Amino acid sequence: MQEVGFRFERGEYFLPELMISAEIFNAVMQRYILPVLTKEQSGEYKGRVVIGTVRGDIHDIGKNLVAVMLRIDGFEVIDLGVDVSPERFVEAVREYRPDIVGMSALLTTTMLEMRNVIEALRAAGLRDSVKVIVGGAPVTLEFAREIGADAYARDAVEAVTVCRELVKGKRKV
Amino acid sequence: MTPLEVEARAKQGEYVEQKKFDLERVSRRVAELEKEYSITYDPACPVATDPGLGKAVFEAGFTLAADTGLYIVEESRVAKFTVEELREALTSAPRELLLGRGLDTRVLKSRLPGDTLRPFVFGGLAGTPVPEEYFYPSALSYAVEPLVDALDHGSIQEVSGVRVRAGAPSEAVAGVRELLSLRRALRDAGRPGMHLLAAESSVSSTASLAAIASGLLVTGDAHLLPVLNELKADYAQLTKAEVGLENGIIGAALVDPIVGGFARGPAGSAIVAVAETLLALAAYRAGYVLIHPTHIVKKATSAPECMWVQSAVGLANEHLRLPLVGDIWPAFGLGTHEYLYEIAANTIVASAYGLHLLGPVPANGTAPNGGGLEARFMAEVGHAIAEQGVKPASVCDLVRELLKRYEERLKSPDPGKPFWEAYNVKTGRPGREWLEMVYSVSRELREYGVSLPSLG
Repeated sequence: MQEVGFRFERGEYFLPELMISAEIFNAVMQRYILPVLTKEQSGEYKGRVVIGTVRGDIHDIGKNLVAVMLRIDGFEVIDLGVDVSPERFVEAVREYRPDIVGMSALLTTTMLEMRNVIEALRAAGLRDSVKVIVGGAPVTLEFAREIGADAYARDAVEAVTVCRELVKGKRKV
Repeated sequence: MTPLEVEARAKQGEYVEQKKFDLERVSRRVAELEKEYSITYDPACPVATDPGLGKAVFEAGFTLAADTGLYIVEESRVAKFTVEELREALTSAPRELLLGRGLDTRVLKSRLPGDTLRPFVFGGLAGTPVPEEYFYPSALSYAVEPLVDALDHGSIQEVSGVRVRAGAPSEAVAGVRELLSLRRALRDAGRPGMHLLAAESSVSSTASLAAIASGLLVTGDAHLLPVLNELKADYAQLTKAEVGLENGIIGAALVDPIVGGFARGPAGSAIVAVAETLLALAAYRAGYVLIHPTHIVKKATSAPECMWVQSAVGLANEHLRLPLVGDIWPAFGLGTHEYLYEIAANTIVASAYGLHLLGPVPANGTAPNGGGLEARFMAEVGHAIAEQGVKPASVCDLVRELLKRYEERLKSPDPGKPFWEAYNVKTGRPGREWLEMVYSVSRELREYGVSLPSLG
């Protein structure tokens, strides 16, 4: 997967190759590797992330990139897709009990949904059970602070670093 | 074909999961077509130099449009078009449009690679978020520039303390306020009939429909109709297209393949751009088309891969013969030398390959860090290239030289400073410091044979 990442950087591989490689990697991990290794022994499994593009926004390239990079790093990623309502995020947190909720938005008009998701988690009594990370072209650190997110990442690479720190409980915006 | 008929066709179309459409119908087919038509990108040169490439890109793009069709997001179904329908859409598309009204009417006509016809210039921040208090003065700074033929300005994100939300009343109000500010700027610049491409605050269709309903977006103006990435449309865009056609509003299709995404590399992105252009003609009945390749990592249209896509689409226009506009979206912004080098490189490519010009839009469209002077700079570079009748492939060395001055920093660019820190907000005119920097880069360009009459 590291080689896939290098090739993507060099413009030899594109998003489809990244997605398909990650799917194969993930399938092999889930089916063959993880069952025989405990989380502690493998040193690979970093935690579980529920991720999605917020309601009203159908852009998924950035979100897909983050999901791929997280999987490569050893996170289990539950990808809710695009146009995800606050209710669906809450439902997924109840169902999967993730360590982290990740939200993406490409538009200034849809990034406001991130606040609604955080409030919905709070209303459902789930806010303290997960860390929340936000990202996307119009999203800033200031905006993340304003809406009460735990973290912000500028790109997919930074998202991986930040998620590692969130799981260790170090990060706070 | 009308957008209403596209909706009807989509409802009867084949159901395809979006992921399958992206990976198999688009990406895999694009890879096949690259091989079938021997379309390759050579990183040694940021422009396409093979004279046979235009025909190959056109034919591959046509095949992709006919094979794949247009994915309608809400239905998860594909609206297909026959070869005859696509050919008819292309044949009946306008080659020449009258934009604007009265004394401010301008002609936008198809240009070809190496054309000596001056490129048409759209100035403005094109969708970039601009605080409402600075919206009017920044629009004015573009409107007062004599070489700017039309205005495509920023978007308003907050109205009366309410953050604008897609499809909500706030979006409608933002659309109306945007148009009121633009109209005021045009009046004050003495160019009330100038063509507007608006409402850029229209994320869904609401702001655009509000502007039309309020009589602020009228015959002779245009609104933006993006083709979603890749080969997709949604009902918001089809609604805008339908209402626009009924009200004499020109559809400006936005074709913005993501280089490195499902469109694959520069070669595949050029094919996708042609396919999306044809689908925009068929589904939206677009009047003109904005060509805006976006790099998945570097973003800016001034990245070498994106300029190559613009050049390849320019060559394909020998077979399309449409009014195509090259978006100039640098990564850097106001107050940096790199911003000017990016504008120069990207404009040289667009103008030499027969595209008209739109922008420049600084900081990858994320911050209002630009003003009208840069539109003049872009216009003068574009005009100089056209008037010299430059052979397209001959710009390779010059563009490579300019790339040396910014390419390495495209991934972490300096977005520059906001409009109000470098311009006089009452007059819209640039401050002395920024003017000197523009003069300085203009003098450098003169040494390379590109003379800018008012700046060099």
